[in-house]
Amino acid sequence: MNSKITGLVCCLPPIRVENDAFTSRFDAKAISDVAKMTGVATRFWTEDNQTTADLCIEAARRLEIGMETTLTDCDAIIFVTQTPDHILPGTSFVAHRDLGLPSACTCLDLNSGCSGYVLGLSLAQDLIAAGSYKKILLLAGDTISKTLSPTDRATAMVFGDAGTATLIEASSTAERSEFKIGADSQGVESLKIEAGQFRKPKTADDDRDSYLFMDGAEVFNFTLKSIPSLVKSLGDVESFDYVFMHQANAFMLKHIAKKAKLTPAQVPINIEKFGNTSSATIPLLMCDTAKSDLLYGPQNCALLGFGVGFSWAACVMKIGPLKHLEIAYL
Amino acid sequence: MSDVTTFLEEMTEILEAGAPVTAEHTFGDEWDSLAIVSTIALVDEIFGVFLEGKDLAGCTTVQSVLDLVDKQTT
Repeated sequence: MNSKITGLVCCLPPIRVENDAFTSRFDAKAISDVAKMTGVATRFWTEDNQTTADLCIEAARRLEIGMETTLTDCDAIIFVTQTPDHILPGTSFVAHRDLGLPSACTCLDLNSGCSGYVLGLSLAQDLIAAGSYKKILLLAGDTISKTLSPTDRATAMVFGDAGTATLIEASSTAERSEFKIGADSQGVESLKIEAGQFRKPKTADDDRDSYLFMDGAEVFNFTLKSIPSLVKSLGDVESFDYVFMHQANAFMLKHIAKKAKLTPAQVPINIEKFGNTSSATIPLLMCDTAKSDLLYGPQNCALLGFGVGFSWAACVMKIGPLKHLEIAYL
Repeated sequence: MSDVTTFLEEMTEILEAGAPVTAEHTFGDEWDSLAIVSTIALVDEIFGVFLEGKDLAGCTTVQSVLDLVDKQTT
């Protein structure tokens, strides 16, 4: 059985942070340079006691209401995040409990960032195609703000937090989507939080390695080498109504679009409004920039996630008409 | 217009130099991570060559960037 996305809600946390909030940490030129390169003007950060699960569960509740459906008949929940509530159990179990999902519902966790949303869609499609599943809740989000060094301008201004909930349901009329998923694990060291788990436990006297480290030039090189050809490998680029790319850096996205011979109209960019929200950027982009088209669809969409690992996950998918599409501001 | 002329024009913008830069232009504080990433994209666009960020970080003049491009294309 094939499957399709039937609804999508994104949830943003309450702390809205503008670029001028960084003036006490960085000089004006540094702020201006980062804003110019990345395109980020605003990002939303969680409160200290808010987690990725809180954002995604709220998104799921709103999805349930907006679609006038119930999630209690979901066969599986897939939770994509790199900022889980706990080391164990997986955050999917937290969501399973709080959403009151049935005991027959499978809980799966994917530790994946920028590629994670598309990876989750791929897994959902394959589970439904295998025949045992009919309705899958995909939760994807991150609270990267909690991992940022306040003094590292390469990361402090770039990332935002968000949680999303997507419903994927079996459909006899949907087309099977083609996915292209891969990794170049030479990038393991280029985007990393070194300490805090078992290879290097977090210590009280040196928390530097507990922050997110990003080698921007290496990430940029990987993206430039890999992503334009990945776009082209998905098929006739002129046939795409939308190319929803992971929102990592506006300058880079424009360059990729140019190399892949995509028009600006095909490649929405909204990093200026939310920053890089890791696994949430693609669903947030869909809700923010293509709401009416996706509600009345179908639209021929290419989705491309790429980043940590290094990794990539891409697909071409007919999306719409969706029953519900919403961005919720907490 | 030659590729090198276009490159120099674009480098003038990346380096925010007051006057057009030449190959002999020596980098100062403006040769930061932002300039390096912009140069990676520029070189890719004009010459179709990927330069590594760490190699570019070691460059001290515009000519040394062009030398890296030459190494990749010859």
